[in-house]
Amino acid sequence: MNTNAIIVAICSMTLLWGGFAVCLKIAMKDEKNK
Amino acid sequence: MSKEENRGQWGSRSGFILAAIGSAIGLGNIWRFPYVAASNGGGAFLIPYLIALFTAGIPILILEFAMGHKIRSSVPGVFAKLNRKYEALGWFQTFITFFIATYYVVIIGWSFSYLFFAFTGAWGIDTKGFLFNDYLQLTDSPMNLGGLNLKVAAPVLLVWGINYGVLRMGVQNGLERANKIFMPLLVVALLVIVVRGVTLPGAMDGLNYFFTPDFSKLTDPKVWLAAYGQIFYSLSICFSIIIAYASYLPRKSDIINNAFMTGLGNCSFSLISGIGVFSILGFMAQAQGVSVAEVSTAGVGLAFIVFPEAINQLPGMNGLIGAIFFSTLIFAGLSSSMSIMEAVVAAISDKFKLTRVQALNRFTLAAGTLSLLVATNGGLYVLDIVDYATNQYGIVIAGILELVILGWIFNLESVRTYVNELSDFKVGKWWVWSIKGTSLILVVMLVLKVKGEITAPYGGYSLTALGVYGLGVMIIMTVGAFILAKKKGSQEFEDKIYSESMNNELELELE
Repeated sequence: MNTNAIIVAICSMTLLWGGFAVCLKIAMKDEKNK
Repeated sequence: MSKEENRGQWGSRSGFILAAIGSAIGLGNIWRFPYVAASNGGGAFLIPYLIALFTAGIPILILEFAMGHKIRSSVPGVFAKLNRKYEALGWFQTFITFFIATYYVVIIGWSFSYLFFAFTGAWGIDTKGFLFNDYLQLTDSPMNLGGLNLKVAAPVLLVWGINYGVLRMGVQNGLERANKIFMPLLVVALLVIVVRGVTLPGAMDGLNYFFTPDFSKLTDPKVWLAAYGQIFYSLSICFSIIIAYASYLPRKSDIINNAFMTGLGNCSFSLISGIGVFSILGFMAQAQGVSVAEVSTAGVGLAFIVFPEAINQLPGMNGLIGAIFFSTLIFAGLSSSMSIMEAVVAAISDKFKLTRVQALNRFTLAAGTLSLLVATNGGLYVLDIVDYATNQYGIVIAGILELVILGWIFNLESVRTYVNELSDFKVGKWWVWSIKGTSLILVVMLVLKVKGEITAPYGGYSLTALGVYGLGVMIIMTVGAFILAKKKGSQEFEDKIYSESMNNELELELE
């Protein structure tokens, strides 16, 4: 894979999966507090 | 037990999230997104795509979650509660889901057939000829439907049976439990495809084609419209599903976080699908000595012609990998079809004096019979035109009307206050402007679509075919919406919805 493609792949995956993981963590914390 | 108590409720937050993501993740994530991204700037497309997710997709999810959660009714009830004159829009959206259900089950039915064919290798070398001549036995024109194709009708009945069984068991025992099974299976199946794909020779060429950014495309307005279109069609928004699902949320629910998880989960899945699809297309292109662009396609052609061809060329485990690929289509399709059907069943049982099972029986009989029309020898044409009419016009028109009513007429600030009170993190004023702005983007999309239609009618079909299956469906949806809106509702609906209409704003009352 060329460098540009690798950068785009890593950035987009980090943003989407990372964002999802952060939201999930907040939700799980909420469930624990209930 | 009153209908309100009888409507059902999600048993857990994870159950709701899985169901909402399951509804959003459909066939389009696997067979549409990768192609749209690759042909609109590759990696550069992800910039407008992510902007569209955060400025249109997630804001509309928040809006629809809030309306369904507050009013606790399916979409006709939600709009009737705002103003009785708006109820027809709710029924119009419900009709869209009704017609989508009639052909969506057929595509899942094909996937079941191909799951079987993957093991037998029935499609042979000429996968295109197999699909059109042997399997679908396609006629020469949409006006010649031929007879009922039993090879298609049999799996379609199976799909109806699965959906019926799940919906009959209710929200918690049916929808929630089914999604808790289908969604992990879908993710595992997709990951197997991805791992197999990226370890094939030529996979990197495919991934280069998918991810390499062409930033010059960002100055092309069509690329931005494609990004907004992709987000709009892929999140199940503006055609009754999300509102119906949100109406089963418990009173204390974090609306904003749920919307972010649904939107991000859907798009994350799309990206992984793109890696799976393009690594296999890269392998196929290398095996055939052609460029990736030459084998890149979307929709039915990708799933039922190009992929079987790629599976033929795999170095080993062809049948197993083929079966896993078609399993992903089945799991993604079923989790979406259940939500599509739930939206219609909920609308009927909420308004009329019918139990959930009575509404489900009537819906299954009507939509099931109509779906047999799509299981005829000319059914592919009907599917194509009805899909085009409901998606490119129906959902866009419904979206414009919904966002104008909720964004410009209704007090959107009150919705912002409502969701912020219920949620861990808050949305600012940008959210209000996102909703208003998206309504304008949809208007531009519709105008360009109509303009294009005048110069070149869709798909090269005759005007008669487009009139019968396209315009005909649009007329049925519009007239039907007004008829159902005028019909008298059950006493409970009259009391809950008509008698207590809203004062143009959402009030926060937590029990």
